[in-house]
Formats: sequence, C-alpha cells, structure tokens
Amino acid sequence: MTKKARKSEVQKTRSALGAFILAFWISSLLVFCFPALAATPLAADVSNYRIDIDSGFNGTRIFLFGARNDSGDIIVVVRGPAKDYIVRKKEQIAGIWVNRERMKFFNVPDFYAIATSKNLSEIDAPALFKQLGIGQATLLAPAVIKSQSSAAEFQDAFLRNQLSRRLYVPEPNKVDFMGEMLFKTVIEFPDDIPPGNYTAEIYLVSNNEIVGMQSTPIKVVKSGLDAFLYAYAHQYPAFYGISAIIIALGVGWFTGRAFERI
Amino acid sequence: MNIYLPIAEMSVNVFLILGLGGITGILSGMFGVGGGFLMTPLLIFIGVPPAVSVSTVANQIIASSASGFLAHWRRGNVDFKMGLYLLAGGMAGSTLGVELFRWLKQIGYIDTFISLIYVTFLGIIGAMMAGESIRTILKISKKTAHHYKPLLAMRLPFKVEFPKSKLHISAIMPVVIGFFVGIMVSLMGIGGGFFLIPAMIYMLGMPTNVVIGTSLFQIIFITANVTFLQAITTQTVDIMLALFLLLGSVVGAQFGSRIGAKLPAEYLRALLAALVLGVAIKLAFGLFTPPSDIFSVSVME
Repeated sequence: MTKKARKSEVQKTRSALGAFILAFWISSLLVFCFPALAATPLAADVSNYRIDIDSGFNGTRIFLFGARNDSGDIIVVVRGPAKDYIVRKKEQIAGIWVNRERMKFFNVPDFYAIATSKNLSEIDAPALFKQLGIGQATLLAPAVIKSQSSAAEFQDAFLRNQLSRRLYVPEPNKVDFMGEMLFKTVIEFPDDIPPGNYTAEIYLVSNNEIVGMQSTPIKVVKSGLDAFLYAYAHQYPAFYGISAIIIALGVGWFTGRAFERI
Repeated sequence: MNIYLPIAEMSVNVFLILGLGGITGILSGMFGVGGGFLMTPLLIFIGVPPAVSVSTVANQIIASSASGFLAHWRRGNVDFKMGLYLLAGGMAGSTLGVELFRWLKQIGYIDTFISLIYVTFLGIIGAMMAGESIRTILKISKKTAHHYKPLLAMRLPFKVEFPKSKLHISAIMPVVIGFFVGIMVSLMGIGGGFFLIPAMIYMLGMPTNVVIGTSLFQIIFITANVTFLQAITTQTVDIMLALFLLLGSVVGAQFGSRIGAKLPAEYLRALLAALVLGVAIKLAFGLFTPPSDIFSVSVME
C-alpha cells in the first residue's frame, strides 16, 4: 500500500518537474524568439504524451502549458477514443427486474475533459461549440430516437455513468493565466481510463471565432504483465485458451501429487 | 494489497480473491463438490463481470477436478467407458451452451438469466437435499439402498455393456445427460457434479464408488472445452484471477477434508443443503428487489 502510494507520489513529482521544465522552455521561447511567435496566435504543450496503465496505476494528471499571442479565451478539450455505447433500462416483469428498452449511442468519446479560462456561458458561442463538440449536452447525438422524452432519459443515464466514473468532468476546469500570455491547466485522469489514442485540443476564441487552434495526441497504453496478458488473450485467443488449460492441468496435477504424500 | 485483473479490467484485493478460493476449497474438501456454484455468484457479487466469472471459474475447475481425478484413478474408481459416453454429449452441450451464453450477453439478458437459472436449480436441488438429510437425521427413513434400477435407461435402444459399472443400458441416456449438464456448465460456471452425480446414481444406476471419479473425469474435459471456447469467442478467461482462486482453493481443500472427516455425513449434507439454499435465496433477492440504477451502460463490441 505504502509502496504504491510512494510510487504514484514519485510519478506526480516527476510530472510536476516535467511541467516546470516545459514552462521554462516555453517562457524562454517567448523571450528569445518573440518575432517567430508573433506569426502563430497560440502555442501549447503537455507534460506527458503517454500514460502507462500498469498494475499499480491509480490515476494521474497531465499539465498543459501554453502561450497566446492574441487576446481571447482559452478552451482546452481532451477527448478519449470514440466508442459505440448501448444504454439499457430495467423494467419489472413478473416481479423480476429485466433489461428491456435500450438505446445505442454511436461514436461518443469514452473520456472527455474540458478546461476554460472563462465560464462557458460567458464565452457564449453556441454555434461554435456545437460544431466543435464543446460542452456536455451537445456531445451526445442519439442514433435511435423512439420518443423525445425517453431519449433524454437515456442520455442522462449515460452522462451519469460517465460522470460517476470520473470519465467526464461535471464542470469545466479552470485555465489560469500567468501574466497576459502564458496559461496553464491540469487534466485529471481517473484510475479506470480506457486505453487508446486521446487528443488534447487547445482553442483560442475571440469574438465567437477561433483565432488559434492546436491539437496534441496523448497515448494511453496498458503496460507490464497485465498488458501482455490482455494482448495475448485478444491477439492469440486459441493459444491463450490452450495456455489457460495447460496451466490449470499443471497446477491440478502438481497439487494432486503433492498431497498424495501428505 | 490490490492486483489488477487484466481481463476483468478491474482492481481487486488479493486477500479477497484468495479468501473466495479458500472458502470454495474448504467446501470441495468437506463435501466433495467443486464449489463452482458458490464461486461464480460470489465473483459476480464483488463486481467481476458475469461472463468473466463463468469462464474463469470453468478454467479453475479444470485444476481442482484434475487433482481429484488423480486420487480416484489411483484407487481404480473411474468408469472410463461411461465417462466417454457422457463426454460425447457433454462436448456438444457445452459448445451449444457457450454459443447461447454469447447470444444472451449480446442481447443484454445474461445477468438476469444466470441469476434465474441459479435460483431455479439451486432452489430445487437444495430443497431436495435438505429434505433428504432432515429425514435421515430424524431417522424417518432408513432407506440405505445404494443401487437404483435405471428403468428408462434399460428400456431405450442402443444398449451397451459397461463392465466397470456392471450395467447393460442404453447409450442414449449418458449422452443425453452429458448434453444437458454440458449446457449448464457453460451457462453457470460450475463443474456440473451437482447435476451429474444424482443423474448417474438415479438415472444410470451406477454404483456410488465409481460415480465421483467418473464425473471428475468428464468434468476436466468439459471445463477445458468451455475455457477454450470462451477464450476464442468472448476473451473472458482471466488467467490471473484463476491462478489466485486456485492458490486459495488448494489450501482450503486441505482444511476442508480434515473438517469433513470429523463431521457425520448426514450433518455434512444438511450443511451443504443450507449453503445451496442460501445462495439461491440471495440471488432471488437480487432478482426481485429494485436495482440502485435501472439504467446500465456498456460498450458495444
């Protein structure tokens, strides 16, 4: 327990150090290459491009730093791999609770975090938000609509599930400015984030228009023995199955022989 | 101390898993049953997905039945010929069962179905065992007949000689019994000794001394078949989970057989009956009480 705690502590220190170096790097970039920056309205980077999920993984955080060269608000959106979902509703039939009605949601990000320099309502660009998939209610477009009221119910259930697993953030996180140009924010990743390719999108929005945009990939990968077993089970299922049988037979035979003597 | 289960994709306490394995081991040592009927629901209770529970317990049963089989084989208590007929039906049944399982999982009924099938069968078997052991304890019935006449099996065609069991019965019977038990094994995550042993005694008329060894013999192959098919169709066999369950059950079985040797058989049977009924009641409760959230979300594959 203590060992694991220490390990995650080390990870956090390391990423904090990384973030510091990053901030230093960006500020020196700003100081020395100011004319070059003038050409790009926005520059940003993250403290980590890769998150390893090993057996001791307990969630992590990524620092995002950047600089703007224009006035405007910063919106940071981190999306996980898109997946298709099925939401089922239980009903009582003959006293027994059984799954009945269901609704499918296609191409919805598994992870979704947002951070803004101002409240979303203050930035107020609904058309833009819809186009970019920013905000929460706008994210889900149900593919099957039986009746409007039940569709909303299923959407709520889906959101509730993602929020309780901390895969979606309830409120946008804060993007802080350090002076006029530099900004930073933190993105939290819970312990059961799904592996896959994530993207961090950084927008500079001014007068309902995007004046600058940057996208950075973040890879979330399983690592260690768990990752090996998972990959083995999915890529070579027949060998995996045979191995499982051989291991069990081996253990059974061994214990059978061992207790024969006792 | 937690470990991450790579296939169940969740983090669990090591001692919880070892403890579950231990309890099952104690039971199998005490009563001579596999304990899958307790292991699978317990895994589901602690949050392991039903599909992973069923497949992984099947994997774990291979080991426990293999070690039990060795002991019976050494004493010559296995009717291999009968075992092969049971196995023929069992292979077909378990293959069909895995398909059925996959289909139920796909349409979202698997959880309810597993609970229902458990409540039904454990309820019936538990009640029958309870009745019988109470009668024995109260000495109401003094029936000690060990050899039942398999009336149906003797009338059906395709008669075959089974020298080890000293039987001359229809081959249809063991194949059909194996088939149904095979379906149960793949749907319930059990070894099937529960169904098989009474069926062998009452429906096939086998002598009790070869019943356990023969059933263990065929359970090894049926659970291996289920493990393999689940591994290739649903990828739900968790080797890590199976290993920790095994570690616990190996140790538990040693304690169990010592406890079992000290208790009189009829009290053992009554205890087992109480346990079986307890699991059935707990599962029935889950079926009829309103869930905390009537909505559930899953990723489509």
